[in-house]
Amino acid sequence: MGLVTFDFLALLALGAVLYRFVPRRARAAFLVAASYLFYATWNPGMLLALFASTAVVFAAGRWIEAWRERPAVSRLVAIAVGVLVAYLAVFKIAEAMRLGGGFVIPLGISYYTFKLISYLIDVYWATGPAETDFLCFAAYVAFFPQIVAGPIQRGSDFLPQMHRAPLATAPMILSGITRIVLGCFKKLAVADTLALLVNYGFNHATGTAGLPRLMAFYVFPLQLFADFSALTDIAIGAARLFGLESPENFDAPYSAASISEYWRRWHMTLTHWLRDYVFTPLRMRLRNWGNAGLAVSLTVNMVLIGLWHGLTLPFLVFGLIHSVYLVVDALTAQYRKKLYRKRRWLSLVTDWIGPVVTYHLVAIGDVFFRARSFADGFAIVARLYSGVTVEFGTVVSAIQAGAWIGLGGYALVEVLEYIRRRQPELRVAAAPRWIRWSAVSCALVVAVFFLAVLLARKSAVNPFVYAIF
Amino acid sequence: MTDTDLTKRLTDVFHRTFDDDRLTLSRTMVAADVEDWDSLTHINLIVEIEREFGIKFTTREIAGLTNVGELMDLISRKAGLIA
Repeated sequence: MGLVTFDFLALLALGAVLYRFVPRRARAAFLVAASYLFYATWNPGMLLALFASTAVVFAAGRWIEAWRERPAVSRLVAIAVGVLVAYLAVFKIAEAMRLGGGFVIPLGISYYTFKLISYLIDVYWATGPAETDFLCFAAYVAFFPQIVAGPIQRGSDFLPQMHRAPLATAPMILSGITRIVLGCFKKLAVADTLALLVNYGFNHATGTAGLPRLMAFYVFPLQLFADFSALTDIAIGAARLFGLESPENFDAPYSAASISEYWRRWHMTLTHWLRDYVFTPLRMRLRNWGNAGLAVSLTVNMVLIGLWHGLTLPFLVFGLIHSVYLVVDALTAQYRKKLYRKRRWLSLVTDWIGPVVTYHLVAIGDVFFRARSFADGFAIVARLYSGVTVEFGTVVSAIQAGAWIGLGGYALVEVLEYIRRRQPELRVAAAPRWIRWSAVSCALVVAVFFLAVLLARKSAVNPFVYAIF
Repeated sequence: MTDTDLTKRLTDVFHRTFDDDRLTLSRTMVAADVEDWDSLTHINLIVEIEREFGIKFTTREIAGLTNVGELMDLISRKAGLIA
C-alpha cells in the first residue's frame, strides 16, 4: 500500500481517530499492530525477519548496556553491527543480481536496519539508554510512516516520545494534515507531471535532438526533490496525527552555495547518520594521515551513500562524483575562506553564482543516479548542449501539454516550502475569522480534489523514486 | 593544570583551528556557535587538542560530547590521569 493512495490515507485517518480512544499504556502496542499490518500489505513474508531483527537488537541493547564497561562488549557491538550490515548487504546483492527473476528488495529494509545499527551504537557510546519496553522499541523500528522512506529518526529522539505517548494537540493535527496535503500536492501535481518530462528526456537522451538531454539534466533534480520530500512530508504529517514529532529531511537543498552545504540540506537524516556512524569513526581512526585521511573518509562515506541506493555501477559513479566534489570542497575550504576575507566583493558574487554552480554539479551526479546505464548517463553529460535546436518543436509537441505545468507547480512548491520553513506552526486559531474560514475551506477543497485524483488513479499509481531503497 | 590554564590553552587551539582570534570560549558553547565548526573541522580540532595536551581520545568519548564544558572536563580528566 503506497503512501499516496486513497486506501492509505483513509486507513491513516481511521487509525488516528481510533488511537485517541486507546489508553496510554496500550498506544505503543497499537502502533506496532498498525505498523505490522501496514508492512504485511507490502511483504507479509518479511514480517518475521522484521520481528526477529527487532527482538535480537532489543536483547543485544540490554546486554551492551549491562556490560558496557567490560572490554568484550566492543566485540559484541562489532558482531551485532556486522550481522546487521550483512543482513542488509545480502538483500542488496540479491537485488543487484536480480536473483529469481523479479526479485524486489523487501520494503524499508535500508531504513529499519539503519535505525537498528544506530540504536546499538548509541547504547554502546552511552549517548542513548537501552530501551526496556519491547513494544516501544518495536514501534520505533517498524513505525509505519517512516518505514517506506524515512526519515531515519534516532531512538533517543523517538523512544522518549513513545513512552510519554501524548495525543496530538489541535495545532499538531492541523499541521500534520497540512503536511500530508503538501506532500500529496508535491507528488501528484508536481513530481508525477515532471516525471513525464524526465522520462521522455532519459528515453530519448542518445538521439540527435538536444532538448531531451536538457530536460533530463535540469528537470530530474526538481522531480527528485518534489518526489522524495513529498514522502517525508507525508511521513512527518502522519506521525503528527499520532502526537509524534519526526526530524526534517530537507532544508531548501537547491539554495546551497556549495556541495558541502548541499549535503547539509539534502536527505539530512541519512547524511547525519553516516556522519555519526561512518565518517567520524573512520576519520578518527585515520586522523594522523592528514589530508589523505580526510579524502579516504569522505570517499568511503559518499560511495556508501551511492551504494546504499543499490549495488550498481551508476550508483557507484554517483558516489564517486560526490566524493571528488567534497574532497575538493574540503581541501580548498581554508584557501577560499582567506580569499573571501581579503576580497569581500567575491563572496557576494559566489553567493549568487554558488547555487547555480552547485545545482549543475548536483545534476551531473543525479544523471547517473537516474540513468539505467553508465553509458546513458555519460551521453547526457558529455553532449548536454549539443543539438538543442534540432527538432525542438517535435519534442515539445510529443509531450502532453499538462507535463509542462509541472514546472510551474514546482515553483509553487518552493514558495510553499518557504512559507512552511518560516512558519512551522500554523497559527490559524490566532488569525482573523475570515482568514480562518478561507484556510479551512481552501484546505477542504484541496483535500477533496486530491482524494478525487487518488480515486481516479487507483489503477495506475506512479511509484515513489525513494520507496524502492 | 588549573582551569584558567586549560581555558587559555584550549582557546589558543580554537584560534588556530578555526583561524579566528576573536573566539572566546564558554562552557555552554556548542558547534553551532562557531562559524566553520562542522563534522570536518571537528576532527581537526580533536587532533590539535590531542597534540596540545598530549592525550588520545576514542570515538566513543568524542560522541558523548555536547558542549565545550564537557570537552574541558574530558580534557582535564585525561590530562590529569597522565600528569
